[in-house]
Amino acid sequence: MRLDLLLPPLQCERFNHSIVNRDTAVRFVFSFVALMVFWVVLSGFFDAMHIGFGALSALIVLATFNSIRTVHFFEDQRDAITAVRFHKFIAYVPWLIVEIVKSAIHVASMIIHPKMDIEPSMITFRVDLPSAHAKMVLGNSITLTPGTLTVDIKGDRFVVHALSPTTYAGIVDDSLPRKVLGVFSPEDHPVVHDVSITHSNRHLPNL
Amino acid sequence: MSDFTVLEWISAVFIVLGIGFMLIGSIGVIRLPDFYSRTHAASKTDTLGILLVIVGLMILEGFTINMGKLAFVLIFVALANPIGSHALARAAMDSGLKPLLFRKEEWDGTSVIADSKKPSIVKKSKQSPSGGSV
Amino acid sequence: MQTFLLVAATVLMVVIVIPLVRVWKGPTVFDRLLGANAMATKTIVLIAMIGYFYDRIGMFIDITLAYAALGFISSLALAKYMTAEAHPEEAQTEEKDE
Repeated sequence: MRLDLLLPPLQCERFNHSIVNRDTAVRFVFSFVALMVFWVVLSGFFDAMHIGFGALSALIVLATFNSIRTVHFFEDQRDAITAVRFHKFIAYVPWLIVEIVKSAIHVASMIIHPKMDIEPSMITFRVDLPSAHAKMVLGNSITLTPGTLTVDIKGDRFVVHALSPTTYAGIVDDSLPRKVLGVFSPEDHPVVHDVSITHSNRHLPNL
Repeated sequence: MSDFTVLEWISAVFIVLGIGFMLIGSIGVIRLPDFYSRTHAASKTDTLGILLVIVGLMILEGFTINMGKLAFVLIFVALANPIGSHALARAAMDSGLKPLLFRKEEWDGTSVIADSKKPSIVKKSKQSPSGGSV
Repeated sequence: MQTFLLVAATVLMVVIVIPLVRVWKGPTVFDRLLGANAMATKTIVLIAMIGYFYDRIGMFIDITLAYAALGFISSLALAKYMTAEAHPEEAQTEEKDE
């Protein structure tokens, strides 16, 4: 079944999946274990027959989606779960949860304030991140933090809507993007540059 | 109410906190002045409220298979809600809905004093990139 | 605990109805979609709480998962549809390319 033929021809450059190396093996094991965990929790039975059916359907799903993964959607797309540094990622998630709770309390206090103490602004900036997955994680973290919302990502340029200056401070001073860089790459360098903050509807830049 | 166990008290606190955050989110959807700021209330404050209630229900459930299913719901909501709100905001931006931006001193609590122009949908034309300045 | 869950579910029902005002008033179609989306996500929690109230969480949690997936996909599809509505000429050129 050639599912990749149904997809739009965005990038004709393709991954070579016929070679069996360490990356493809890790990717296969990771996807298979994730699908099996999903199956076992949803079914709730632990006997051989149900586990066997689960393994069979997980293999069918992996075989079907193997052809979809050969298509590039972004220029800097890397199809490798091995790029994620898991010890950093495990430290990153609790830090993000604390940030979410802190800024949720801030946003809630702004909403129930009788005068609604908000100061909406548009922020655009460029990032220097190694892959499309890193940008996806950064964009999702920005959106998950109350008070900031990723409106668009074009190439390495982010467009973010923020509810008040307190909420976008974590992005502009480079603390959140540096944590994301730490998850994906061992090197440490400034990520955010070319920051522009707009408070007026008339001076909106071309987005 | 006095026959609660300790775990039931903890889960009740989580559920009450979560419903409180959802209530504030709902109020925000009504009160905030434009679409983009409403997205903050609707999707983010709400997401935290939903996560808190589900954590409360997980504590109530204890360590069973249903706790795993609730954890799936938790992860799904935490991943899907930001993506949904981002997709909606990007669709609004692509169709030319302008955000209402102002400084604190221009805001009197219900409307902008200096610039009371309402945000409107303008069509983006392909020929002039300046016409599509959103 | 049953009484507490009943009261909490009732309060949650009132909270869910509030964004309906935005669906009704909303100046743009995106405000209406946003209100509907806010109601849909909160309904997930309501279904789970009803499951605990009737002590049949095993069945209701599956409904919750299906409802969450359905709401997410329909919200994505509607957002995509609104983008395509705003740029009918781009959608046509994409079809021509194929």
